[in-house]
Amino acid sequence: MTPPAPPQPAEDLHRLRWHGMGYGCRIVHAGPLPQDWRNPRPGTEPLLLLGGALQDMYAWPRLERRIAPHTPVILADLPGTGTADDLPEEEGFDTLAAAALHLLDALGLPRVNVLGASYGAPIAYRIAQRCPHRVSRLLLAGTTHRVTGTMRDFLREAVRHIEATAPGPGESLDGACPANGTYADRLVRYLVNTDEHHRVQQSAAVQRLLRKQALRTTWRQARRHAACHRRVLDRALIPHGGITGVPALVFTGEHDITTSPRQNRDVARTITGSTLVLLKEADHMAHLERDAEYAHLVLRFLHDEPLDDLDFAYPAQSPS
Amino acid sequence: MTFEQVKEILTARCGLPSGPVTPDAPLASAGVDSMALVVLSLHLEDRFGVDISEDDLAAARTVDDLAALIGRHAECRG
Repeated sequence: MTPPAPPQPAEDLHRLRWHGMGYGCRIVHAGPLPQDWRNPRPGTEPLLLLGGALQDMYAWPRLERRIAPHTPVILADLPGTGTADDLPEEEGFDTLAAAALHLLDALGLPRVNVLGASYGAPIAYRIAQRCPHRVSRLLLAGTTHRVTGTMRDFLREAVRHIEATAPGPGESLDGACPANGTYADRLVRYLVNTDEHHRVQQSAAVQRLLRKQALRTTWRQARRHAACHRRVLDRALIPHGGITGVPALVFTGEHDITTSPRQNRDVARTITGSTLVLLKEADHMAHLERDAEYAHLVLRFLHDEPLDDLDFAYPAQSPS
Repeated sequence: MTFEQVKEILTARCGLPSGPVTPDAPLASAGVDSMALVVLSLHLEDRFGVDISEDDLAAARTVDDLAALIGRHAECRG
């Protein structure tokens, strides 16, 4: 007889407003939220997860499933993503960090762990820099000071491509944006190291998944993508001044071409006492390619456990 | 294809924890996400020569239904 399935993680949805913009979050947890979840003992602080530019608060099912049994996971649709209202184009990462801090205030959370992945990394960095007392641990996955080279060219072209198209008369913004094939192919080559696909786990599946998602992009989503791409192009992603007083882990896949290991190392250098870890057989999409190992690394860091003996990663470095 | 065969693929190839993968579990409850469906689709094609898209796979309600759906596609091919 098949044993019954273990209980599914539960979730609480919150709708919030900040500076006239509606936004929201999910709090995913296993079992009832403990009474003291807002002021937990050290090592069990909730994890605020700030994902990538083209992701929403439902985009991390694998990580939330593995982390929620240990500590609540807060996934946000900050303005400009998912179910949230649009973020004005002129607003950048400072505004998004302020919105995330408003989220913590609204939830009554004095102190959390913060994981910023890709587009979420500049937001997470600013939170820790502005309010180090509110961040127990900072995790940055796939980060860079600045988008450079061919990646920069791709983003510029993607913005041009999206902005050159418009829905026809009477066509809904929520309809599929046609002629996305070229954009989808180039987006995949921007996010996945296709040259090293044979060295990256699940590369074929990740490429297919990303391409399919890009092909299903609606007009409304495409416009948001363009705004995100512009934000990444126009601003200093990582502000000057560094971070001190916050334990930090910077990590990415060894084959990441979107934000290279060197670029991640350069960001880690600005955080006093930080640790850099490179995951083997993964690139910028490590959370999909090696989801179990990704979650294991995150949990190890959240629990202040050593990161030197992981067979799926190179020995941890101390760049700062 | 049997439930056990599908469970083996979902856990060994798609990286899902085995506990929630029960015959009656709806796909979402079993942890079958979009990534798992793509990996499953690719594996079925590579290993068994069964061409079934992730969109078709997503139409199954439970893991048992998924096994039956794959079985039907495999029979059509044969």
